[in-house]
Amino acid sequence: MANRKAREFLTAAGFLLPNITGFLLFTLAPILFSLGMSFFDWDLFSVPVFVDLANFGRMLSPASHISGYLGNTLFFLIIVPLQMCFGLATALLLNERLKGSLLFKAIFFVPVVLSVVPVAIVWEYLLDTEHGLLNGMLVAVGAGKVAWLYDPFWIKAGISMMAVWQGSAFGTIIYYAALQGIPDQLYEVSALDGAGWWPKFRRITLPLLAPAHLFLGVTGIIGALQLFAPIMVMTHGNAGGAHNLIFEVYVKAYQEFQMGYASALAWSLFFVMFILSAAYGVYAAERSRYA
Amino acid sequence: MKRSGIATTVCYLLLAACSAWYILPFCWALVTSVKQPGMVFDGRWLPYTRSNTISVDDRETEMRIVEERGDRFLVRLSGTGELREVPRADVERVSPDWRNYRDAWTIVPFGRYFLNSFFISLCITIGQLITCSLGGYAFSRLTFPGRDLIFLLYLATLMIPGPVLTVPIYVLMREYHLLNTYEGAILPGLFSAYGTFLLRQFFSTIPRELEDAARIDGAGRFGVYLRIILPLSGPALAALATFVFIGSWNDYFWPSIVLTDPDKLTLPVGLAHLNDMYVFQYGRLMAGSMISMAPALLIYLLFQRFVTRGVVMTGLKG
Amino acid sequence: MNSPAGLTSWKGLAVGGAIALGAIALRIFLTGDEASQHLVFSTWGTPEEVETFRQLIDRYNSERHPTHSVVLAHSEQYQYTERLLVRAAAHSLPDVIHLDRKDLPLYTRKGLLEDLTLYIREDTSVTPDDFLPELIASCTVGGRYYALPHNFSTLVLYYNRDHFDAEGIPYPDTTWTWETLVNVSRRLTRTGAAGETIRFGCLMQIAFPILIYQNGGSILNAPLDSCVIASPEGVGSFQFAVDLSERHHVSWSMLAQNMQWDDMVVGGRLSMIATGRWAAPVYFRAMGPGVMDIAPLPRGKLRRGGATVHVMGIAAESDKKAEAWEFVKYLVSEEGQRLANKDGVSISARRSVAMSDEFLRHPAFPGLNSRVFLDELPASVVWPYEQGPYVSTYTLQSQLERAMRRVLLGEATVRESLLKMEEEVNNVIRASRQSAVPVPFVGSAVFYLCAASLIGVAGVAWVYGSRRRQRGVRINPIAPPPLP
Repeated sequence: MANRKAREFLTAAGFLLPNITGFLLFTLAPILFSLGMSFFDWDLFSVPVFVDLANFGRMLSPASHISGYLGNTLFFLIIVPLQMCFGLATALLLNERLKGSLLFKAIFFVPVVLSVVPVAIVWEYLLDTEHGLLNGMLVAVGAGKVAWLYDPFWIKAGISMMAVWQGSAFGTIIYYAALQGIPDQLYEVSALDGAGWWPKFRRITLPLLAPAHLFLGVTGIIGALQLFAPIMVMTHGNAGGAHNLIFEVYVKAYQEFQMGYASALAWSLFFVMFILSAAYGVYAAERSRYA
Repeated sequence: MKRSGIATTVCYLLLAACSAWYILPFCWALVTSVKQPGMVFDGRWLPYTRSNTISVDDRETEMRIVEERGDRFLVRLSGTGELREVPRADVERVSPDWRNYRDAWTIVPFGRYFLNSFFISLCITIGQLITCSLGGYAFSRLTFPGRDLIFLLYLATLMIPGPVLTVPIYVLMREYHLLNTYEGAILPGLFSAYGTFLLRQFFSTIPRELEDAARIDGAGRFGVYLRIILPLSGPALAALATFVFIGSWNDYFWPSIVLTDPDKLTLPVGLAHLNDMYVFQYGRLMAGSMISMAPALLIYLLFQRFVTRGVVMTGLKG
Repeated sequence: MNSPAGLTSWKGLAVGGAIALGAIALRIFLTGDEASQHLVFSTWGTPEEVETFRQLIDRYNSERHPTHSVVLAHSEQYQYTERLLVRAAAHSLPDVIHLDRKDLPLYTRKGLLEDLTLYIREDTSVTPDDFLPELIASCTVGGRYYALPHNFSTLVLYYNRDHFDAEGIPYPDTTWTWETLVNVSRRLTRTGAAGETIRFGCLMQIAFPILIYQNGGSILNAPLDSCVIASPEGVGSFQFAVDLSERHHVSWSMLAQNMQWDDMVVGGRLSMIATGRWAAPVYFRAMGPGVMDIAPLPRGKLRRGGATVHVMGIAAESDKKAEAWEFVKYLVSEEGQRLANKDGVSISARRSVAMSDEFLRHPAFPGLNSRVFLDELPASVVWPYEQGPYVSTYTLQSQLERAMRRVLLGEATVRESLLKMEEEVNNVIRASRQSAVPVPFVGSAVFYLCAASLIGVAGVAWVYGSRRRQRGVRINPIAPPPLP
């Protein structure tokens, strides 16, 4: 028995070898470096000075504004359910295999194909206060102008909208691929029982998509809490109400030259993210158990 | 499965609504890329082009627009300097202006960047399909001590914010002598926790009975992986391949750290140079973006057909 | 269960993996460092500007110095400073660095740049008199030279002649004050039937810090170690900038994005704009000659302009300083400056080129009164912000923008908002001046933290595992039920 276990372990090692090597060389090494840095005071140029936990302590002082930044960070979690629901809905529609679905597939894929800089620039214009298209529509229906990108609340809403736009296309494709794996027989059997659309969706489709839910949920949480590049481009480096933790990490590291403190912030953000995705993982496991 | 006519219509309506939401921002980018300089923010959805001549006494005369006055324009004739009002339709008509494309094409060495991007993305895609499917299989089907812990650690690395990693990555790449080389842009991309996670999730939906049957027939783990798991995961592998390809096609972070030689740049890094801090030429930037996204979209469309056929052929769909 | 096939498969995999690893390792550790044979020159810029530098480098490599060839390292403008900092942190700054003059105090404080005073004194082929005096003076910190000026631009007022002609308004000149600007802008602004603005009179957004200096105020104090923007002069200037859009309605609100301004000028929807030389190629290409011309910025109590100066420095840690000096000399030489002048994006720092017809009557800009750029230089302050050694331009910029937003969104009065900005900037300066107190490496706290995190990770893993075992699902907690 022990022999079998050992062999299984070696097999696994063989399967994982290529992955683990790259992981150690290119991922773990920089991560450990930044973990080390969080215990130092380092301005990027001078010799780092060991300060123990001072960087973490500094976060607790009110002058760090950390709670506000954390609030902004958590706001973006709203993106996750939105893009999952939207992605699932469009994937289901595509899965109906109507005529012309190739065209629709191409359209749904467009947001993913565009890279982040043009996307952010387009959205910056759509959301512009004076000349933007969205405000143009609002004025046309009689509502007032909204200071998207400047108002502390609306900037978060605007950037979430952009993120959902791009993220739900990602969801569509993952869900669509997952739907391909559900055998038609299951639906045929339940159709014989006279089940309608909703029970079929509720009892067959949704539970069978559980692995896709988990994947999109966890990567969605990670992506939402690390939302950075679009904010950077759309606000020209001055995020205002969308100033989240990762933005603060960037500002502290490269604009105020406090690499140690930035690393400490990054690791705190890591813990927030870790706890949230673990919580979601456990929740998803519970759900699929009782479904 | 039969659908009623009403259901089909509803489906189409919903699809159209979703398409509009997805396509409108893109349409704006597309229209902007063919707008004349100076017309980008005129608030109209069609590309209007203004001419710089007007016919006066049946002769084409050069002129400049001085002012918009409702549906008329105040123009100044070049020869005499005379000001006169003319109807809007005489100087302005809907017609795409391809100058932005010509400019972007001549200014940015797209051919070179295409080759770089294509080579790098292709290598990364092939590499990731191999490493991630191997890893995904191990994490979903093999039992070994510490499996979940390793997987969790693996996932956790996705959660470290990028900005603090720039310095260590740069130092590391210098130590590996990979700065300013294609290898430097490719190697780190070959290993991805995202891809491993995705395939682990998909492999776990493949019925275990198929694998057990093959094992009883004498197939080894690798044989099962090669002959059962991979052929059954067509859609998942295709989804991963498209994502990885598009992802590395659009990736800015790594290449911008590693590559500084203007001849080795990838498309997004090269394109970013059009984005100047104090001079904004929207049309040119959008034209460049359209050119750079076209191949990716094309590859996706070609791939889609192949994938759909692949699914049917494996017989999974019954 | 364990077939021979299974055995061979993992062996095969291991062997394959080992070969791949070996190949990677060989590639990584056996190649020499390519960069060490070259002189690395780093710059930013649009494709046109990069092309200019490439031509310069090609010529230099082929004609002048085939022994130590120069290679170009290039980043986009938004990323440039960050990339330089990363390289500085990794102790591999490029040998020759193109940088903005405003960064000099910061870089010299950190000891990143070579002191060029002796080079200039001992080398007869280059003297400070070759350059425009204000520019070479701006390359000194504490009386020592740390760079040579390469190019610059002053801020000027671009105006659309056709708009002025149609109204019969005389063109802007040196007598203009900010009051004149507002009055003329009112006459140039056009409103449509629905109350929307069809044409804006002026946009002074990037010149607005200059107004503070013109009124006798300042953003940082003279030693550059404290923010003093909330002075009466600062408050007055800030209020003026707010009023342009909010009271006089001749400009658009600073709550709108600024990326549209060049297109608005080109489309004839903006009559006057304060910007630099870099905008001229865009305007002339799209609008043709004879439409746009330039005038000095309007004056306040004092005459002040703004200038951005780009300089060439040598990394203090470079091991090829002599070669680097040769290349810097070439970049600022008559020949190098002539070549750089061609694209018309910036102005040569060399007196002989800047004063020549090659610049003043640049073929790309017929009819442009380019002398204004030079006339504005003597009275200019550092633009966009004189940051000093303790705070970066980004901090000043974003704090000023935040102050503006607080006022425009009605959260604070101008004075309150600027006082808040002073407080925030001074916090950054304090943190930057403070030297860290080293803590003896007891490692206790670190140990506890690491231990706690490991326990946490193990705990979560265990919870996962136990749930799976409870359920009796063998493989995956979230796997769907097997096929019927």
